[in-house]
Amino acid sequence: MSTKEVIQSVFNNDGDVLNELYLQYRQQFLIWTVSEYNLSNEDAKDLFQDVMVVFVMKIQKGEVTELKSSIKTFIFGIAKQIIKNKIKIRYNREYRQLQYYNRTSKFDENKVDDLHHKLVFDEINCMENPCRSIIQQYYFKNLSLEEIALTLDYKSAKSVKVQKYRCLKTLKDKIFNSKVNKNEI
Amino acid sequence: MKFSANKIQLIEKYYNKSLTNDELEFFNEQLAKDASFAEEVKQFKFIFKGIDSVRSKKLKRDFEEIEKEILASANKTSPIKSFLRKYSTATLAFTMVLVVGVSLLTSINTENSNKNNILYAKYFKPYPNVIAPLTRSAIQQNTAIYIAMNQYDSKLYSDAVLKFDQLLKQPKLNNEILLYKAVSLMSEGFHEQAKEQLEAMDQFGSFKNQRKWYLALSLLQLKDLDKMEVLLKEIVKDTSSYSIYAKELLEEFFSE
Repeated sequence: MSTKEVIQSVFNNDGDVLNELYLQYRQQFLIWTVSEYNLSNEDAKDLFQDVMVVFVMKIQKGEVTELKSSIKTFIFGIAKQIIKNKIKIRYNREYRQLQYYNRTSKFDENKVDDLHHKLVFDEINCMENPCRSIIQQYYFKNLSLEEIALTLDYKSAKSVKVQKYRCLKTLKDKIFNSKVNKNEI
Repeated sequence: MKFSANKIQLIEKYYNKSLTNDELEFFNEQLAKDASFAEEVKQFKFIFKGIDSVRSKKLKRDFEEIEKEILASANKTSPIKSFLRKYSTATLAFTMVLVVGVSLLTSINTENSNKNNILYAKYFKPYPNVIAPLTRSAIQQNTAIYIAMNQYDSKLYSDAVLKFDQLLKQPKLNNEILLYKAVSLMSEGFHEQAKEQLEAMDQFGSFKNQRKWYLALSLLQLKDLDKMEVLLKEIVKDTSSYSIYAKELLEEFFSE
């Protein structure tokens, strides 16, 4: 499979290809991070999963449509960037003696991320169709508007697009108009 | 607030950093002069971040599932399954070597590094697990060796390397563990690290012939060809089971 075909398959959310990619680069990645960065095996596996998430998201969001390097170089490059950022955070923490402050802000970041996740996840699951299907198919399965039009029997991709934005507005209004959520946000 | 698909599309493109320069200029103008638009941008950013978070958490869970499957398959100890796995992985390894060999052999490129790769693909095979059957009773008492060799057999070389590192802290079976660790590293293309392990082995201890053979192969990949030649000639003189391979490798290496 060429790099172009791999990118297309990842974009199409092909589970088999994602599985293959994971297995293909996992061992080399683990040995590399353990020997180069002295990570524990568990941390290395966790990092590899984070790297693969970034890799897939970059392709599926259209940020990466072609590669000048190999897929392996790209994946390892993402890892280097993540490690660099983590080291940078650590450096700042240690040398500015703001460990406590940073730990608190990190905790808040996680809390905000969890809040985003929980509110949006719950609301999408509570939505009625076609909104739930459209949002899930477009954002979570990465189907194109044309594909959604076919599966949900819309006249055109444009109709799906307008409906998708209508659904997003409904989702936003539900989250931000709820008094409870207003307080949480 | 009135619904406008174009406005939400603009915000989504802003969030995805895919606005054109003109669109970005228009977006920033709106943001500066329209407070309600700024509020909407803030709220939609929350929604898009939430959607991204749901997507990444789902992906992470999918990858964690693969990891669990890998672990589960490594822990399977049924003799039949183990045999089938060994058989199928051996077939796969053979096919891969064949495919790599054939595809490289048919290549017109005659660069030296290509030749080294062809020879390496032809001659490198992971050394079979001879520790487990020989010391089964000891293994039952020593879980670390059992797990390490099981991972080695399952081609989970990175996991095996970590287990070998733990085992190397114990004085027993040093040469054996170093050899299997080196072969694991070679299987993943880490030849420099593999060479270090092989050089750390006692050259007169167990697996001394295997040590020389795998060291020669790692030197081939590291392009340390003078040392490789000296070592291969030593192996030929040794008349060990590797002598024939060493002779063939030397002949092929120096052939046109």
